[in-house]
Amino acid sequence: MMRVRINFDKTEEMRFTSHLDMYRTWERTLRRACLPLAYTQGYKPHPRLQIAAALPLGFTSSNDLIDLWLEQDIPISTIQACIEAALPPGIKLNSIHAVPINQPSLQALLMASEYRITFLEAITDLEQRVQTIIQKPSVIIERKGKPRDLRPLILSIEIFLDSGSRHQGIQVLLKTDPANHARPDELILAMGIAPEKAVFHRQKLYFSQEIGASQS
Amino acid sequence: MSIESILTPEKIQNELLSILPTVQKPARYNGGELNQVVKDWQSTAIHCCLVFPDIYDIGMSNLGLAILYETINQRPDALAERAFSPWVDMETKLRQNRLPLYSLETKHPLAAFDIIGFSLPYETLYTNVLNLFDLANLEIWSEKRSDQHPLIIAGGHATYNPEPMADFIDAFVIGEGEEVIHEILDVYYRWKKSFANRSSLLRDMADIDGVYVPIFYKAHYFADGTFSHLEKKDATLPATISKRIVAHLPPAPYRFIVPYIETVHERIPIEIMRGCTRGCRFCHAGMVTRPIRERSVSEIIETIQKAVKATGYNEVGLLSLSSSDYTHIAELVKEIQHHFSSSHLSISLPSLRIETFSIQLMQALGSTRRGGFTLAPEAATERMRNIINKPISTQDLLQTAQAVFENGWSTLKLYFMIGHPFETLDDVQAIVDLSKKVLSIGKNTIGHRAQIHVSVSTFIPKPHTPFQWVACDTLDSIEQKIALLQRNLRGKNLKLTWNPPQATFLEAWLSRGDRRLAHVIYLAWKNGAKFDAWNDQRNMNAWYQAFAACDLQPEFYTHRPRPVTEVFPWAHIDIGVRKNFLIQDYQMSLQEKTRADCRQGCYACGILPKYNSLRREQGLTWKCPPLKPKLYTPA
Repeated sequence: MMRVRINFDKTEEMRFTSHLDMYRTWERTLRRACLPLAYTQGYKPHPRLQIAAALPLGFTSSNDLIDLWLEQDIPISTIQACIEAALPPGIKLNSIHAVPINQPSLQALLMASEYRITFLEAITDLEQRVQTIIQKPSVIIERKGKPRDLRPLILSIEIFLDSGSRHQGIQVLLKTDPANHARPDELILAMGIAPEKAVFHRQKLYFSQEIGASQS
Repeated sequence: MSIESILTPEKIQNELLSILPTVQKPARYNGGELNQVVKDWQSTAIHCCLVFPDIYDIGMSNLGLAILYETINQRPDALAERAFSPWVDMETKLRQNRLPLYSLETKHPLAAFDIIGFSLPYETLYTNVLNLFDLANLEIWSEKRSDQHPLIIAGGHATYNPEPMADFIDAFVIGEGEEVIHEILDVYYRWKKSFANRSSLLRDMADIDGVYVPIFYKAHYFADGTFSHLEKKDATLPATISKRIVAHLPPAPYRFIVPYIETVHERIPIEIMRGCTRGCRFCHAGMVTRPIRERSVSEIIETIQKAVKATGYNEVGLLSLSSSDYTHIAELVKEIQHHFSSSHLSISLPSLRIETFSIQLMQALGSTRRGGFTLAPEAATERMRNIINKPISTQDLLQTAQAVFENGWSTLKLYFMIGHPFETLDDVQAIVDLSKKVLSIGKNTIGHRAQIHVSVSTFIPKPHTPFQWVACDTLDSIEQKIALLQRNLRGKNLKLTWNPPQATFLEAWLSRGDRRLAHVIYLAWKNGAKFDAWNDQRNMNAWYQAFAACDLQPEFYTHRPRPVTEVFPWAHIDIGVRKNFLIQDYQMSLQEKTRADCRQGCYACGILPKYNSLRREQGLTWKCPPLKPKLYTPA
């Protein structure tokens, strides 16, 4: 048995693939790669795969992580070549590592997520909106009918100007742990910006320990 | 429509950025899947868009579309892209933003294509076709289209009666598309280079075997509204259009597009056999897909291997109208076991006969027992099964059911139809009795885990079948029969599902309709009808108002018994099966007489003489027995 960690980007073609469908896409990719996937036991066996963090529909990502389990030990270079040849248009492979079988799951180690949010329309008072939300002691939003405070989950917000498209945007670091997380679309809604006028990209995940997959 | 109103792909793509995040399942509208083919627009001569007029989730599972997509894209001079009906939320967004319907591959508006090909496997898609014309800014009526408009073609099982859609489609492809599509593209290519006008293109199309160009024909009717004849506008046009068939099944496609979202069938479809020799009298497919053509076991195994490698799917569907009749079924199953038993691949074999051998086949395929075992007796009494020519003895059926439970399945699905010709309430009560009997067999065999799902649909008389003369059952009668089933077929471990009878009538009048229905379809769509195949979208009032406005009665098409002397609006479409054969078979049904599998003896349906030269050239038999002129004479 071997546990393998893949660092990948989810690109434009797969922007609208849900978290569940992302699993199915990986499952099919690995089947095309002819790798000896380890299956779960039970009534309806399925391949053992773990994606570090769910990505909402409509988001792209860089440095996303997935763990997979293989029945046999195979050289990493062979695994990499097999997967490269089988990838669909929406996934780009960054790196592959073997990781200790008994390491806790990525979900359990996840601490924070960094997003880059690009606005399709100019927001003249963007700086002020950022200041306002940072200075608030609490930012109460409603999720599934329940009030939640986003403010303690906002670790940082920085404004940027995209050098290519000349669009404004913000780069935010949001707390993401098994107990609590903030969604970036909720954040900009709280700033008074319509989420459909923004493009979301998750750049990086932060974990509570060294997880052995280099972040590019 | 003006050329200026055509948006560029870049503009469309840009607008989509803010639209797609606001609709359900945006991946339906985005393309970019594994195995999609994107060719260079500028350097490719002919641009085709293949359209399935229902949503992506359904259309992407259509094998015909996959075959044509692959075939066309293999040509250096042509490209094929895809479009589907947007769901209502996306339609609203397209209209609000004045965005035209576009292709998934390159986001070109449909109006920018040379040829648009519609897949019409069933009639309840017709209003969607009109809606798509509208969304694509295309003229709805073919006579109004001019030189700069795309050529609109359509094919699929519903087009064996092309008349209801004849005013909207420029050219119908009758029969199997694999070879004729190339002739169409060749003719189109020569025409495009010649700078000739549209009517010369249409005239050239009409000369291709199997292609019907309705604008060159005028329909005439008798005073009582029945169809009289089709008048050719030019004496050199063909009087009948014979369906196209391929002598051999071409290599099976395997490089299927893999959607990023869940679709209705998540599997590799492999057609193992085309055609059927059983001759069930209600079955349209069984009549129009003759003769039998089979793929070899080695080709099927090889295709599974290549397709798994190309798609990563873990499910394979081996498709045919009657899997048990595939000549090498036992060998096929053995080979599948040998090659794939340890590969987490699930293989389904639908349409099995009601016999214990089918259970052995399913077991050998390592079928999971989760989904239940399906049997389709179609009728519950031997009398009724003789009338529809699906003769199975009740005893065989019960034995098979018993074996299903004995071999580990706990759920048995039974498919029946109601509204068969000459059906009585006793025949419907028999569905209740039979289902309960099967349930008690289940309980005796495995106890209280045994479950029966009874699925009931309503019979629709289809053109080109022995039942094309019969009237549909009346609404009152169908409602009475469904009420009887609801009342009596209840209890623990019994589940009943049925189709709404209105949906049945809609399909029924379109199936055997004539050219006058074009205006009904148009007005129904104008009144808001679309997605007629969807129970939550169907708008019957839109249809009834349209009929009234056209001074036509739906009952004329559905509930009128037709004499065998009547000329049908689809008489010019020749499926290779002789009309006299169908009449004879119809008359045998009246006497409750059956015809066995025609591999055992030929009933001279006409398919062999019709395609004799094709058969001789290729040295084929198509599983037809040696031809001795041995006609069946009813006693």
